Amino acid sequence: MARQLKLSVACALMFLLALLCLPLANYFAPELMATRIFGFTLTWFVLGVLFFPFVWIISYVFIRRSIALERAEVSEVRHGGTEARSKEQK
Amino acid sequence: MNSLSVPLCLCGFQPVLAVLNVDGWILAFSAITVVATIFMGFWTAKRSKTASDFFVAGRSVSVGWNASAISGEYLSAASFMGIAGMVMSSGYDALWYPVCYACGYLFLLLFIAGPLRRFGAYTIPDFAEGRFDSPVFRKIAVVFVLFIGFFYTMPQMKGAGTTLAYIFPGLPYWAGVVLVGAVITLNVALGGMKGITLVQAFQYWMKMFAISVPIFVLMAVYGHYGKQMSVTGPEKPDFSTPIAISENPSIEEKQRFDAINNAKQWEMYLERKPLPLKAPADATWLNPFGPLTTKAAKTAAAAIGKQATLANPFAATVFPDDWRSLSGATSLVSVSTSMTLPAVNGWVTLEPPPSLARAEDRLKAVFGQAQHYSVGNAKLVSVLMDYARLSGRKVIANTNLGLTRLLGSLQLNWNERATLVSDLERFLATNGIALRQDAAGSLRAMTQEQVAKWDRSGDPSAVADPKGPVWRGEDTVPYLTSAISLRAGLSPDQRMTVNFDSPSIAQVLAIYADLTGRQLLPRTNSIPERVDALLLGTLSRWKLISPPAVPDSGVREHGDGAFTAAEVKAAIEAQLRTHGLAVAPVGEKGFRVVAAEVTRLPSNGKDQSLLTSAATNAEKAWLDKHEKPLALVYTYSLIIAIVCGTAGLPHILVRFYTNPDGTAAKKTTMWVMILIGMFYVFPPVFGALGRNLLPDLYNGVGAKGTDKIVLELPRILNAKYPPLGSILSGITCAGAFAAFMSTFSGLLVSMTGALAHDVYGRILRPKATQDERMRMFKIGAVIIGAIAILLGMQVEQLQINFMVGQAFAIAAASYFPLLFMAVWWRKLTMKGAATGMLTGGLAALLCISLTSFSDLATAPKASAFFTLFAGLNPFWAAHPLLRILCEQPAIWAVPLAITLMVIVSKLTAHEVPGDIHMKMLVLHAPEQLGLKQEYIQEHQAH
Repeated sequence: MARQLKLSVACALMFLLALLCLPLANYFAPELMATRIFGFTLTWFVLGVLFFPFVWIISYVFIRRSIALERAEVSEVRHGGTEARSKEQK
Repeated sequence: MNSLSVPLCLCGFQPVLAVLNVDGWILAFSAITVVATIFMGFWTAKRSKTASDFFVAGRSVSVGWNASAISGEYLSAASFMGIAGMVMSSGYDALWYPVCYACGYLFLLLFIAGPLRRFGAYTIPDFAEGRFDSPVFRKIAVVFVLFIGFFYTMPQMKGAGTTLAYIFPGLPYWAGVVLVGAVITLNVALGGMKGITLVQAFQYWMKMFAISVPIFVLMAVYGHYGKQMSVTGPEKPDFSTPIAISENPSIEEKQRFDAINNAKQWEMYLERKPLPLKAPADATWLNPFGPLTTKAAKTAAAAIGKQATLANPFAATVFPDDWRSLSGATSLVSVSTSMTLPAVNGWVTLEPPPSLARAEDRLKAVFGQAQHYSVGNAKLVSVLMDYARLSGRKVIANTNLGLTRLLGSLQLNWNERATLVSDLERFLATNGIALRQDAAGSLRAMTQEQVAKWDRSGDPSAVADPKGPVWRGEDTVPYLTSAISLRAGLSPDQRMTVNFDSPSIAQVLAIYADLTGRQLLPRTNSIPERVDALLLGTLSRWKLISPPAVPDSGVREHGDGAFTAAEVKAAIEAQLRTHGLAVAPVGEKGFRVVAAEVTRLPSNGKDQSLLTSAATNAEKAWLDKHEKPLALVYTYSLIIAIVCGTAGLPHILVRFYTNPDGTAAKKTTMWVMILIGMFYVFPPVFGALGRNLLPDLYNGVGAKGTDKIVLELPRILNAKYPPLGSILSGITCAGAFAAFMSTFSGLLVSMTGALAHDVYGRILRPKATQDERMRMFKIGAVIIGAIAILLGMQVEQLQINFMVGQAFAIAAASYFPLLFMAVWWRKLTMKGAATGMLTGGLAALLCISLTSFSDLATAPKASAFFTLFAGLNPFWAAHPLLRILCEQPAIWAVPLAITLMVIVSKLTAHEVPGDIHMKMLVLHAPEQLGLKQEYIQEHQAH
């Protein structure tokens, strides 16, 4: 549980960093964010186009790690018996 | 219009369709979608036998099906129609909605999806009861399922009403709501969840097809996304106009500069339709912190501006201190150097006032028989203005000359008009300004480089027609001057001599006060005198304070003289106007001097000059300081609401129970993210294209506004390739049907489930048989469907996407804290969870209702109930931050709920369930360990 939570929190932080920093960038560096890229403004391009693939990547990484963690836990419990389980609870 | 190409099956209806002005293609596609959905519902109804089938489809749906079905259910009318409409109407800020709708799933995936499935409960109330061993909590949770559900059905109903009103022009909005609501309710009552899973998986792909294919066709014909965006922002360039950039360019100016200097970009320039006045200007639309997030601040600023024009003598005046300190050598011009001319792109026309033809005489009239034309700290614009006045010719000045810059002092001999004019020309030339005559006979003020360019091209028409505001010396704010008349008893024709060599601002204003019989306000800014003014002069009457004497007006002679009272008054106003000042009436007895500004109306070619007054000034000053911080708060609150709200929406959560295990639940979420992420790229494209191609929708309200852009936009293709436009519009209509049908049925199932399973099966009649429960499910569906229809009829004026955001905010403040804390914090007690959820949810609900009701109160034809809340609007205008926090409460409601949960749980620590270790293990241990336990056993038996 602790390891799962740690993984979740790490992924969530990555995501929150991106999501919460964009308004700040808009606030403090409006000229930079208004630069044109492929016809879009930079900030429109980031939010309206690039953000979706970014989230897919985070969710893909999370699923792979999370399932691997579960497998590790299962084998740990099966081999380590009840000790591992009680450790898990703490 | 396409009655010839109506499919065979509809041929019989052709005359009817023609009368109703219905597009056959659109009707055909929509009808097929509805019929297919209903057929699938009935077909699967036969196969869903048990209660378990009804509620969670027997928990045997594969990852692919389930991901498509969740996506299908999630992509509501808000996603399909609302986002496009909101991007079109509000621009950049609306992009947060699709992004957060999609990203909220990540939170669900990271924190909630897996554990919740492992816990093995049917619904949120089941989870609430199982986690805390508390039947009471179940009841609370049920009530919230219904509350949030109803909030979320309203936008779906609005989508239904809008779409039907589009397909059948003339059909009232409410009829569409009733019709669609009834059909879906019937379908749910007969089909149940199993049917819905299949139907919704189908509907996802239907929606994906319907939103993407028309977009690709439209982009192929009218230019791709980036190209459409590139036209937004800079105006169509005028290559003949010299382009330069001022010292401190605004973002808008810079974007325009970049775009125009990048000639390549203009090779792919697209033709845009002119934007109506109601549309937001390009810069506000394109850049962050636009109309959506700054609405509250704008309202507040407007209220402040209004206040400034009313009787408050201390607000928005030009002079910071006692105006009498401005006596002596201070001239009008030097006072006005503190003013700035607002940026107007292009040309400013300075016209000699036609009513003051003998200009130098008038100048002398006001400023005395001076021997010199003398200005201290002359501004370029004032020199040009005087030039226009003295030469009697129109001067057109390019704004990039830096019209407000100072040219230094100027002292010329006041001999003949002709010499004075040529002296002024020389003075301008020493400052790098040349005057050239254009084809129309006007004089253009340009820099030497611009003159050289003009000479090189040899074509005077290379200089474009003057654009920008016409600025006459006599122009004054219409409201302000018409409100001030000469004092009673003074005839406009009264002749007089005004004799000054070098007038001070105080003296000029004293003349004005004399002529109008009004007093210049504020007489002072010193506190004792203000108090005196408030007490109607009591203090000075009692000699407690002694106000300084008003300066001599200097009007020496009445009854004789070269000029009339009206002319002198007009000349003073004109002189003030030239220097960016205006006079504003204060009550009956006072006037004050305020900054007058030239501002531009957005893209209205005819009259771009609007002279505004103190109101604009006060408004602008306030907005500069407060607008962006407030918008930032709004943005963050919106992000929190949608991200956390996604993780708490009841009809989405119930889907997780249809996964065979927690791993599958996680995999499902990942696929949902990809499916909906792909979808959400498209609606903003509709918004961007709609702005360029179909701006007429900005003028519509309710069901006829921007919310229908997705339906209407493909139709413009009919102009080039009939009947392609109608076919594609038919496809998007079908997608819209799929959108609100799927979400509405999902909501109905989860709400009816709560009603039948929890309220009836658990609370009212725990011993009800299987058949009775099934019957109750059907009756419940009809009851809830009817309520949803009634609610949906009330909200035509609200934007679809906005309403969904509100439902999300309530879910974010109630369910998200409950689920998040219950899954991850073992010390959470029932009382803590209930207190946090109820307080957060109810507070959010209350605030959101208040803002929505007060908004509805201002709508045309508002019902009597909503007008009760109209009184709140002035309060919101006075407290914009509170308005934002009420409209988007997530930023405080989510932390409030979580804090309360922690505090109350700490206080009731002894009530932590005894088997909490076991419960946490069930939530988090992998299922292969065999710890999984079905909390709701009785249904498994069937």
